[in-house]
Amino acid sequence: MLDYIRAELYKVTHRAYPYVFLLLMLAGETLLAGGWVFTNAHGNRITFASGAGMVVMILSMGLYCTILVGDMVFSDQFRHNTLKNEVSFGLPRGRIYLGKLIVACVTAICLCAVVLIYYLGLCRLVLPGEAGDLETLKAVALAVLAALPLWLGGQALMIALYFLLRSGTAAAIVGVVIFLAVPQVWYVLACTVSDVFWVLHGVMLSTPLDEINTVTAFGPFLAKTAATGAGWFLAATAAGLIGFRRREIS
Amino acid sequence: MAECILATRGLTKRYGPRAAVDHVSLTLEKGQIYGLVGRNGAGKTTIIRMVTAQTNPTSGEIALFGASTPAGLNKMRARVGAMVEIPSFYPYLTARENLEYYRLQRGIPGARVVGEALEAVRLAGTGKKKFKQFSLGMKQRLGLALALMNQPELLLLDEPINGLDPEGIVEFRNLLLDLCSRRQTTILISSHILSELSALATCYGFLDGGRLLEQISAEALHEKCRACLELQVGDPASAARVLENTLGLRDYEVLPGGVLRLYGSEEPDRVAKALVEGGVSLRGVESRGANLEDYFLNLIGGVRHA
Repeated sequence: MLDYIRAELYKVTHRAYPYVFLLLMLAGETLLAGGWVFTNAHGNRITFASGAGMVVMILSMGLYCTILVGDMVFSDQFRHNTLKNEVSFGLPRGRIYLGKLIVACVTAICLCAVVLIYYLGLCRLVLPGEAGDLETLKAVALAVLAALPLWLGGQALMIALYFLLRSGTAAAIVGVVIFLAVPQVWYVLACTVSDVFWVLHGVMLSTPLDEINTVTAFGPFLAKTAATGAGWFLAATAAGLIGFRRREIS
Repeated sequence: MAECILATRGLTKRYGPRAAVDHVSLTLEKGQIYGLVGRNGAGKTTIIRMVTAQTNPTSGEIALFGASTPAGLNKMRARVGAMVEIPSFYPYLTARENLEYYRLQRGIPGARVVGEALEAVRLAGTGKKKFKQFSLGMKQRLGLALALMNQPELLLLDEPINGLDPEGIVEFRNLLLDLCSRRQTTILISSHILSELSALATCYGFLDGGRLLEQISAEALHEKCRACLELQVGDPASAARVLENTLGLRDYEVLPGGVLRLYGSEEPDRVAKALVEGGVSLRGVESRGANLEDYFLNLIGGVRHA
């Protein structure tokens, strides 16, 4: 398994995709921070606390980034037909699947760390600080900690979709539908048809991320996001593994 | 008895009602170059895909180096090099990066094996050129380099000379012959370019409609294809006497049913005249002899158009 993970990391780090992705993210962050510096110079007062607090508002973006990271690692294997080189050498399909999943999670965490550290560091450098900045950082850290299992659950779902669907585009579209549209459907049905749909709405990956701003008791919330993320992670991985074991490589 | 490297027993693959491979039982012994002969759709690629776990057999059994359980087969596949259909690699990586990726993945020790494999197929000088910029011939060479990288004991090659230039074909042939003689590598090679196969194979399997029609050694095939004069006579013993005493011929064989096969380049008229004058009842004379292509076409019942 270690050999497989090493090879996948080699492949990911030898393509332009992660670097372009990172460059765009960092450029976006620089633009955002630059905009605040500009408005501050014209009488506005955006502090480090407000700038860093933005992280909590945009945690849902992390879910959509799993679509790109999944694509980065899975690398359109069906379109390039490269899986045949792996199975014909006798690599067990479970190793192939789990190896890619682990590398996707590692890549996602690394990219996330770079993006967050850069953003918070930039905010610290260019925005005025206040007495409660440490508290802000703690709140951001807790929110990221709560979001992490949901992101990993999303990553497992995306890897399963890339393995199960022949087209990478189709997998990305299904991912967006599950992250964005399905919770909205449950929400509408819960409001109009039955309260039962609140349960379904509650177990979706994006629901806790939307609630994160209003959380007062972080302990139970962390437990909830951990359970939701783990549930999606295990269910998606089981489905993906079963589907991939039966799949013909053609 | 030579070691059995690959054996299939009743191997069958069905897609709906159609059998792509139908109860195929073939055997490859150590050091053989096995030519799998058949038209497009005969089942050659499907057999190789089943051996390489790309598709599951509907029924039947595969044994690789004596192992036939799923776990055992997977383990033994590490001793196999395969090039199935068009070589597939990551388009955004170079030849060296692609091979390095598979070297790491397969746990092959020593980074120099990548350079050696590229040298062997004359791709060492491709530098930073990405796979997507390769010609078909270069892609074929890289596919072969990957198949050779783990120094396989069994090499499975599906239409490997497609896209190679004449020089590349000669090099490829020499490479295979060298592997076979120096490392005792067993090779299964499928092709419909029969002239190329005939320069390599030590054994043939003829496939048609998913069925293995015949498995035959190159010597036996050569024997069957030898140019000869086939005589249908009433009394083979008298005919043999005439051939030996009157014409001084010794290179012949007597087959059941009053058939005599006379090898060499004897004039049919001269032989017929001698037999008739010797009192032998001659019922028929026919010149025979075929190349691999003729033999295959005869076997499948002539040229058929889809």
